[in-house]
Amino acid sequence: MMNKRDNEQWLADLNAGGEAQAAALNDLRTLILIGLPYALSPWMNSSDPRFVPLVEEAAQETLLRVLDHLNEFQGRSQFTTWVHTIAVRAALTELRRKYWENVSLEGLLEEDEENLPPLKLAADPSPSPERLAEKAELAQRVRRIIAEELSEKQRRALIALAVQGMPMEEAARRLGTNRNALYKLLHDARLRLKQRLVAEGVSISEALETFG
Amino acid sequence: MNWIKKFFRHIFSRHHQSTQDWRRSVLEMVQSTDDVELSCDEVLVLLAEYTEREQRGEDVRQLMPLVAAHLERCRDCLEEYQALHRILDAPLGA
Repeated sequence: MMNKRDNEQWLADLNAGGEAQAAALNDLRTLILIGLPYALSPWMNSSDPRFVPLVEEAAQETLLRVLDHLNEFQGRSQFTTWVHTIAVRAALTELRRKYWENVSLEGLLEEDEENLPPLKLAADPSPSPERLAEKAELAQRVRRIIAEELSEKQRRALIALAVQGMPMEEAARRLGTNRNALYKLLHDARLRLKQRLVAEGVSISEALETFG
Repeated sequence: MNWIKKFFRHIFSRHHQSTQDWRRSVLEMVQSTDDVELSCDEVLVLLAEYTEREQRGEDVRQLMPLVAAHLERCRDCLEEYQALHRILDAPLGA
């Protein structure tokens, strides 16, 4: 039978060591194993043979992280909700890694300049030659600005996210970084591109109409 | 690159199955970029509170707008928020 604990009691037991800590860890593990089937339900059924090893591993990793980061819990939520956020991230990180492990990025990241996707002209069913030229010129400018502003790492990450729909977590792993660092790197890239497009007088809405 | 390699890459690469230029997605991301954004780890710290308050019916988009904006931009964090929501909504009160 699980003890009912408030936040203070969880922290006290987990910091106590000995039997109190062992009992609290056991109860947390039970809660994690109850919660994860709901969390993972869109992607993996609990009858899937891969399910038990996945959630057992995620639970174990979560308990270690909780113990390592106990002093980071700020008391702004239920302690158990905080633990569930850590468990969810651990489980989804592993699930994403498994799902994407056989997908290669090679080829995807090299660009064939002779084979660029067509420009979108559907909004303008019978464009004049001048309009076509304007659109082509705008697309070329945007491509040039993007090429000039993005580092190779940023370009690779953006293509993986945009073309293949790869999760940030997995793209970061492939690029030898972590998700948080990649998010910051791409935020910097987005800001730089935004400033450059504004400085060159390029309307993003108009540019969006040009790309199919 | 020789033409044989180019040909097979053309046939098998997922990239060439896509008719949409990846730069369109980049432009969409740029369009919704704010000067100040929370990173994934900063959102993780706030996610439990955000989800509990949302579940209590509070207007979290108003109260915690930077978290809400991040969830619109970052699919990984959105999936984790939705997964956490499912746990909190579970009948067993996990």
